Amino acid sequence: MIKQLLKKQSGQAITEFAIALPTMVVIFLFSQYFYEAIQVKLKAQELARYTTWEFTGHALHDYESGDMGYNDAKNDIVSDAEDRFANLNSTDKLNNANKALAGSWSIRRVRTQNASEPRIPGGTIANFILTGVGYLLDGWRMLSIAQHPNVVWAALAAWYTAERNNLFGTAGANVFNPPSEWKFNNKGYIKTNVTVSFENEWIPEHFLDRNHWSQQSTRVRRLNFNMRNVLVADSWKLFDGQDVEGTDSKDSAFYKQVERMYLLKQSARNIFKIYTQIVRASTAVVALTALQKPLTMNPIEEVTVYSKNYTTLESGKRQMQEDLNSGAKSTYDTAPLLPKDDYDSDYQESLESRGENYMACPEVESLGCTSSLSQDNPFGDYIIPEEL
Amino acid sequence: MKTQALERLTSKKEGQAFPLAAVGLFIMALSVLATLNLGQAIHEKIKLQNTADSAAYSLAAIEARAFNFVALTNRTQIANYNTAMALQSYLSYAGFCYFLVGTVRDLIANVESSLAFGCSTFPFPYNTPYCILRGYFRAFKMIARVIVIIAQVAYEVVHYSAPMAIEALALFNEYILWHMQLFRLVLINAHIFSGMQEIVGEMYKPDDLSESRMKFMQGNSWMNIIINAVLNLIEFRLAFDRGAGVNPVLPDILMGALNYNDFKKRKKDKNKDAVRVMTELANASRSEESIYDRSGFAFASFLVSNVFGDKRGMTKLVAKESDSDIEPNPEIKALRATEGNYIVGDYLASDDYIESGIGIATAGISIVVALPNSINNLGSAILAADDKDDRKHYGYKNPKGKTGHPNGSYNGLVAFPPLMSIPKKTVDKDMDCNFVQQHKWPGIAPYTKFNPKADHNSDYNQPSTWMFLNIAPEYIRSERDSVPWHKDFRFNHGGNDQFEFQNLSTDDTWEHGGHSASLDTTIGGERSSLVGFLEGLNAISRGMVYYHRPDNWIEHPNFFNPFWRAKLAPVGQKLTQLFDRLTKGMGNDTFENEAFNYGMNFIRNFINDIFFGVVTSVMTH
Repeated sequence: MIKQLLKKQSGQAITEFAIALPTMVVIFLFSQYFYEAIQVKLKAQELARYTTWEFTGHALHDYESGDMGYNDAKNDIVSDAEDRFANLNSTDKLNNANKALAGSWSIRRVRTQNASEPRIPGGTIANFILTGVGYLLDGWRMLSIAQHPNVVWAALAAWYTAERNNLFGTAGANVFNPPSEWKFNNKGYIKTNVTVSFENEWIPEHFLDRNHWSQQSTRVRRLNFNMRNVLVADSWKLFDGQDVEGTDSKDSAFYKQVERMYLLKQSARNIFKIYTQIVRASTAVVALTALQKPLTMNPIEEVTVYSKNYTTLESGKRQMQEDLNSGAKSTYDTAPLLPKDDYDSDYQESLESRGENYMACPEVESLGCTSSLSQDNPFGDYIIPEEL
Repeated sequence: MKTQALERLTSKKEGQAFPLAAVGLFIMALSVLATLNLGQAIHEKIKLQNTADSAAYSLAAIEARAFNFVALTNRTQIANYNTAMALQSYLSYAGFCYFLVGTVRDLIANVESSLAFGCSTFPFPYNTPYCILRGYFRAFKMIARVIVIIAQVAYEVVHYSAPMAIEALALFNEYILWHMQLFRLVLINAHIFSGMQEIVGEMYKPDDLSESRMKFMQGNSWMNIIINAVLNLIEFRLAFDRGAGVNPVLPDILMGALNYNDFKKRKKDKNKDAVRVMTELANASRSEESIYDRSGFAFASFLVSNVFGDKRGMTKLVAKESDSDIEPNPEIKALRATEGNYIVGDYLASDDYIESGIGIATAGISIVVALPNSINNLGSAILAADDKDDRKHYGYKNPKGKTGHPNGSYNGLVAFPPLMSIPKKTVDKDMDCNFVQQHKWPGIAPYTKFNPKADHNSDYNQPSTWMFLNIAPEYIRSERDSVPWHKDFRFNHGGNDQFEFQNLSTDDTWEHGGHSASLDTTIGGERSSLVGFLEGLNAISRGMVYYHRPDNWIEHPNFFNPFWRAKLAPVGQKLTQLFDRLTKGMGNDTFENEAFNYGMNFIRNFINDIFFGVVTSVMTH
């Protein structure tokens, strides 16, 4: 009976199928599992990148108040990223969007850090050299006091040197740290770490226990994908481009920033203010002895910032009273703009060559600033379609 | 010796598909692993590209930060110049008022002298009122003298201190603000020369943040670092105009140190542009009310002694009268000059004077009139300069070289009755400025100035940042070596079965003989590189530092407004730009060879295709 069964070839195919099927199924299971795992891993990578780059679209630094906006940005960004990447399409919130056939995933951690601006590489040697350079600059400044024996300058230089370690870091600071009172953002170096876990949903957990390859227990365990992305996200953008016209624009961000930088710090400005009041009062006394009006100019200690928008050659100039004799200047440029006919500089030509399109393209982007469709193409505009 | 049973089994053909299926299944299993490997390869490639993007953008962001810092410190320099001008305005105005009150006192003295003439010359009783009034005017003269002393004391307070503060502000601009700019910009060189290693290394740190996979010169090849350094240095350097100071790139600084004397001559020749720019902006930012024009203060004086006229005054940064060797013109009238002497601002000049003036003092029966030719010489002038010979501070001179207020000679003075004697002048000397360094003014300090270029194909000299990255196969590994993307599988089924499982480290090679098929799952091996240093994975990225005032693309890039930003930019765009720059002028209206033009257009389009074909298919596989 058994011999007969062994001799018979019928059923061979089903037998082989019965043996092959589990193997095929296992392969299929693992294929799907690996495919999904890879997908999730790449998504985790994208999540880290997305979270980091999102900081470039937020105001991490406010020139107007000097405040830093990292925390606000972080809350928005992390919340958005977690929602967005809850499913593999990184689009909307969907029900059960964190599950596929072979596994499910969850964002376990999205952590961002607002680190100090990257330090220069080079380690001890670079620090040693920079320290030397720093002291060299100190020496140069001290030498200038010998060259310019001036009590006020000596006091200013001494003040700066005394404050330097607090304000700018040591002479050999790897990175220049602006004075804290200037309220520049010396951070903005965003470091993001994300962890996305991928949980096996359909392969038996102990399927590969004690496999013969590694002689170790290889459970199909939960996979944790740790991804990292870093970026200097903040370029100290000034978001307010309005005209700045001296003390009339005292509330503008641009004005406030220069005001913070004026004479290093507030205490220096206070001392200077007392001095200027003495000057002003003394001059007023002299003027009153001659029955003249005291000068009515803006207080000396107030900073002067004039920066108007240029869209034409004339638009950025400041119109002032005419000079006291005819033919003198009465308008002044508030940004560099030397007449091209008189000077070597290309400022005027640079202004005139720019257009109002993105990246100052003189023509619309559909023609391409520099592409072969460009009308600037030195070899003619032959391939510009007529309808354009 | 084979047994019979074994012979039967081997001779039978049933089940021959089984080993074949086994082999097939094994290959399928390997394919699953290959899927894993492909995924890992994609992951590594994306990671490298992410790193290149981050590094290029970060370098651009750091440069943008530095440019904004430069813009704001340049504005701070301007604020300091304006403060210096304001201080000198006060000083000049105080000097003018001091002269003015002295002149008024002198007119009273002249009236007293005229009364003395009447008292002593006219017969009694006609001389009686002269004698009585003379007594009063003696008292007036003494009172006026006291007032002049008060004015002098107050004036000296300003005169003692203001010039030192003025000089200190200019020195502050040079030795602190400019040095700060320079220091910050020079530090960027380190990032440039290291190929933004800080970011690259950080991206490849493992989970525990221990040692990075991409260390300097390890992982990223030395050739990539050189390419990045050269490209980024060239781009960075183009943004600066040496005329304003020194280019903050290491080679220039080293050369600048060797040629420091040339550097000090920056104010001459073409470098004048830098001084002109700063002067223009400093003058544009002045307080209009008084630094520039002090007109409207029409008359002054005491009840019995007045000086009438149009009061003028201004403070400006000026130049020598022309580019020739003539002396700078501190004569106050020159300050009213046109642009010709206004252009360069290495001289800080102040001017206060009276125009169409006349002086009148009277006791009713006696009158003294100082005519315009005398009063118009009343004033104060200061020229603060670096060169000792150029520094001036004095009152106006009359044609005889004396101080311009009515003095002993009374040039242009009419008196009735005539003067009894010539009164001593109240203020009859040039200013003594020795104690205040004689109005030293170092001039426009060095600063960092943008180098404009009116060419879109050059991005208006806005620097790009380049990042070519390469990671060699041996560094494409994570903490665990057992993962399949470090294996070189070889499966042989001919003859003796053999399975070779070779780790890249070659420490654990499994061999079982045979040679027929293999599956190398290592990523980025030498099989796919044309050039040695490109072995492994490669990525290219380009960042850009650009100037954009919100809502205004037209405004030209400059280092006086903090509107610099960073972005990523297309790589190929630069190629077309370069092509256009190199071929600029070749195809113009006069060139009528259309075939040539079509040909060049074709090359222009094709060059990008070739580039991207090479870059995307080979270099960055």
